[in-house]
Amino acid sequence: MERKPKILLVDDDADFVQTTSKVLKSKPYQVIVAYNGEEGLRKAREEKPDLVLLDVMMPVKDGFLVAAEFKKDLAISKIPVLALTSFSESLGQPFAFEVEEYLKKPIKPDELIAVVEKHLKRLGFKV
Amino acid sequence: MVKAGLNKERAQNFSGVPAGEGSGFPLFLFLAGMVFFFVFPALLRSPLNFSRAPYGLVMLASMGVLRPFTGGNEAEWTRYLEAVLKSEKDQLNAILNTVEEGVAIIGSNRKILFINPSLIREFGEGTGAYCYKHLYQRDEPCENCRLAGALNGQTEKWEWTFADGRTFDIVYTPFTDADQAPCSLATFINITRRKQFELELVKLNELKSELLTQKTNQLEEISREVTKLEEEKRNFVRFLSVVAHDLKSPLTVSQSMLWEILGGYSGPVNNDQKDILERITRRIDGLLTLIDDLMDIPFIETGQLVGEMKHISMGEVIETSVDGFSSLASEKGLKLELTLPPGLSETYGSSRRLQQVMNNLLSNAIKYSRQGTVSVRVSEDDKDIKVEVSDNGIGISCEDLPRLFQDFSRGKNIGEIKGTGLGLSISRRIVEAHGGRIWAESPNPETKTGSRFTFTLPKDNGITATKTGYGKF
Repeated sequence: MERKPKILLVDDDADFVQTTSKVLKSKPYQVIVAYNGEEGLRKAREEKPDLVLLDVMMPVKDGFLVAAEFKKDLAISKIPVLALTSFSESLGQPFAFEVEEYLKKPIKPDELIAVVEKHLKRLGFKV
Repeated sequence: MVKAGLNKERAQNFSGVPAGEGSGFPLFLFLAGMVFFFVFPALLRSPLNFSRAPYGLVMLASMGVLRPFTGGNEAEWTRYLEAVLKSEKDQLNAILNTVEEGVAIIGSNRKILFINPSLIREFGEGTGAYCYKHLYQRDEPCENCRLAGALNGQTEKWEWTFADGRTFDIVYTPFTDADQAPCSLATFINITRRKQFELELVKLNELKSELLTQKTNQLEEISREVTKLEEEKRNFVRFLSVVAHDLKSPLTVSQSMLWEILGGYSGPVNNDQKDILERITRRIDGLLTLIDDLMDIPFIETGQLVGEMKHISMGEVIETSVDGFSSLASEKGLKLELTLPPGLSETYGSSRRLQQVMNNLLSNAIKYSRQGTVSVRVSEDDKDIKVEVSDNGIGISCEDLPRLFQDFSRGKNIGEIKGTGLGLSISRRIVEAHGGRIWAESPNPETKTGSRFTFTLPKDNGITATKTGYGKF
């Protein structure tokens, strides 16, 4: 694929969104942001991103529920969702099916890029 | 045997002496003796109830039957009969004098005709006294006089408690006196003690019942308390996880922002700035690790490790861990060895957590060594799998050794080496949650240097996949 990959970033922490966007934009990625689950789902339906980075613990709509909704909605169910969590896995992995991968916060910029590239490559993007 | 014959003259005795000369007497004695010694005792074995076994009559009847066959003269017979009667009377008296039961004969006029020693002991000598006065302490006949029933031919049985508290089992049996007049044979068995015991038994049973109810109530209450405490513990763990998240959130994003700068995403960074920023990231990293470790403790303590457990290969866990440290070891110039027997049994546990233990022990071994070998030796007996991690490092002092596995314990001689002091206490909790033990020896008894850490994992630790909660069942 020749177009720029579109990445949706959903996280309630504005600082995190800002710093992560900056890292992602250093690559030729288009970054769309949302600050809660509802907004994230809406933007996903509107913009049809190629990849979603989803924070697990969010107020209003819990990350787990959002991931489940992604799968339920056929329009967006095929989009790979990567979960971001600051938890150690102590507290269980309740939704191994709805997300492609767990990413542990904090994640180093180069590691984040590497993971994103891995998934984009699978989708057919040239990285 | 003597030939049967009704003619006295022709009757012969055993020894062939002709009849009529007192010669039948010995034979008679023999036969009477048979009756006396076999029939009489047989009758005696039945309950002492004279109305059913008129022994005297039996004797006389047998004598009457036998007499024609055996001969003997009148005088001899009379003498003999007297002797037999006397003997019988003596035997009867002997029985009446020695039995524990009180025995009395009460005439139809309510006078006591006979009273045996046992009853005399209970009520005093009373021959000739009125039964209602001597026995029942009444001035006139009892209202529902039992004697009347006995005189009518009915056996009366009942329990009676006297004014002084003595209780008796009383039986009045219809009887006849020497002149064939109706009277009553009364037997008295003192059951006071038995009654007391019965009462005590009832009281004891009541007490037992009460205690049982009390205990049951107590247990129920304790059970309720335990359930409540368990719930509180679970709530607390949930609370702690929220706390952990809230502590980590600002730290993780701060870390991300520092990396953003360090990565050049916000413009060039000079060396001094880089140095300072890197120190900050290390501090933050330490904090994040500490929070994770702290969160591990309540998690493991509330038995939630059980939910992570399944059948695993300890061999794989150890190999993975050792591989993970191979580069670090070689960087420090240390040799890293692994002795793993083939075909190691499977064990039931959490591979992630056991890996955590291995990582902790290996990390320590490498951290606290400046040279030499770090060796991992795995062995197995029929009960446990044993893992030993040995090093040639700085060792552990005697004073530090006992507290090594406690929270926040750090040795005295560690100098510059960094750590939270929670690694070993968490490892201990993990090993114990698997039903095993962990301990340290310093110096290593085999090499006389460094330290040796050993932990065991029971092969059958009784943990099943369906249980949740408090670890071992």
